[in-house]
Amino acid sequence: MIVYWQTLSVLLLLASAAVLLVRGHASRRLAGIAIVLLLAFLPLGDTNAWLWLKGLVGSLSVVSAALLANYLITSLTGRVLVDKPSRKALYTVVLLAGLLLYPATLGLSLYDPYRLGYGLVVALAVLAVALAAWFCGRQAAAVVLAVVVLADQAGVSASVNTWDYLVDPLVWLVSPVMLVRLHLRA
Amino acid sequence: MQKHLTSIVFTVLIVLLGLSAWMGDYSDALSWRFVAPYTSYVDHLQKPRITRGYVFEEGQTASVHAPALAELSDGSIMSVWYGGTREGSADVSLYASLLAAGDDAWSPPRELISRQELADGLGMHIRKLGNAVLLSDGEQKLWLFFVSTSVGGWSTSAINMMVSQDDGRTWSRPVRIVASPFLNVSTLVKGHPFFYQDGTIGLPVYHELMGKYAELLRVDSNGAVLDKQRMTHRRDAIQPDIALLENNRMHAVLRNTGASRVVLQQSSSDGGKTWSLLNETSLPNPDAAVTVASVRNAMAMVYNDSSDDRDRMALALSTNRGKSWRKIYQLEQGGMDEDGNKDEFSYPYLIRTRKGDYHLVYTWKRRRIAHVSFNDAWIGRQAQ
Repeated sequence: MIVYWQTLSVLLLLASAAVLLVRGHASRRLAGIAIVLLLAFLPLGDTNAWLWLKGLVGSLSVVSAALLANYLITSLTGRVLVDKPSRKALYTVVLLAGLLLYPATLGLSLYDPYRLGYGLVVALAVLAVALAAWFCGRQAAAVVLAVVVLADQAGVSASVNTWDYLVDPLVWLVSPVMLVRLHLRA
Repeated sequence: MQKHLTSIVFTVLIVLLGLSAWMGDYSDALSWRFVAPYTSYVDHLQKPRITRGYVFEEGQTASVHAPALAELSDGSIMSVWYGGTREGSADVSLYASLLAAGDDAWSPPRELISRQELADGLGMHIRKLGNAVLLSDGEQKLWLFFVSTSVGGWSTSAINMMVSQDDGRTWSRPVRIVASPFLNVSTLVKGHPFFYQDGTIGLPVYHELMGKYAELLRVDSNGAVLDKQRMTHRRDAIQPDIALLENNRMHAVLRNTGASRVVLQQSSSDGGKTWSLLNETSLPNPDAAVTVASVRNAMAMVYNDSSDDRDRMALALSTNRGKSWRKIYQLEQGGMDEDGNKDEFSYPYLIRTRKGDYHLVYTWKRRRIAHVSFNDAWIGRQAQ
């Protein structure tokens, strides 16, 4: 399962990059995805872009995967699975989670909140936020957050830490930009 | 009506997930009692003994570094190190050699895993291999933890693990250990791993991307990190090595990357669950790795006894739980190589065997792995 999740992570990243670069009809975008994937497997010395990206990124968080999948589906079919209020909620959650987590991980703080993710605290907090999101009308965000804990329990990634299913550096880095965009487009 | 029903279903799902998380929570079940270090009958008529040599005279690679040791089930000693054209080059692989029980000579080095084999095993790009440590359960099962980078320098390393069921003859496919949330980078190994009584592994590690600190990981036998404890609360201590003492106490010595240029140390009285603040020893440290092992009623440390360079190496003893250390033997003196550069003796790794012998390996001028073996009687004589 770990290998599948890693593969899905890289696939979502490359496909999203292709869709971002290629505008127009869905068929053009699909062609762009195919070309990007082909290029990803072209040899670069003893490696290729696919393996390089896998080495860099490893596994995405569930929130990342859900937002990227939504972006792809919306771009290709026009259908929106994660509506705007839910996307705002998710980006807000990952922005706050990352602010708590990453400076400490990089040694900028003496306290290590990552450790909490090995126990119940983070999982229960995520479920509580999921419940709150549901009753605030952000059902899609609520489902994504529930899947965070479900995926953690199922062990789809090599990590057994709930934080790794909730947030990753990529989604954290884009979250402030995305929140500004979503607010401006309100 | 349907909306209410959906809300009820979702709420029930959340509650079930919460219960599942609660039932799967093992964090309180982890024991902080480690498996006590070997105790052995001490022969009071034991004669002092020290032997010095090298794991190999001429290696298969131009450069070698960072050796580690483990005692296997049959009493033989395995050493691992990394070697290649130079540190960090693409051709660096992990190598191993065996000193059979009772033998004087090490077996010819054999390659354990190459960079490309690791890349193929993990299915990802690997840039270079680095430090490795070994852990034996004394019953033929052997764990190898080693670092690699995919992008960037050593500060972006991640830890990999391979397991052998036959004392290192064959190995499992490598797996990646997830120890950090930031792209899983910057966790490295150097110090002795050990077992806790619940079967999990204590793995001393360190982080050096931006801030530097030491940690103790709790890893299960399959490589999943179950918990971690940050050991240090400064930003200049890395490469912890831990001596297991009596009554579930531990003592760690650490490399000092800061300005004070002395070996750092700290202790734990609860099996690594909590750690004292770091304090500075009186021993110099030129920003280099140190190693420590428990010695009957004391601790022995091997270190570079210079605050500037790694051209000297010594053995020190503490008989008062680290309050003071005394140099008892000069392992290497300073010198110059043929190019006029100072010699380098570095990355010592010291173990105590079940029979009470000590084995020390260290990088010798980046060309060989030096091996020193001694016993309690010899330490006792040096300490007089």
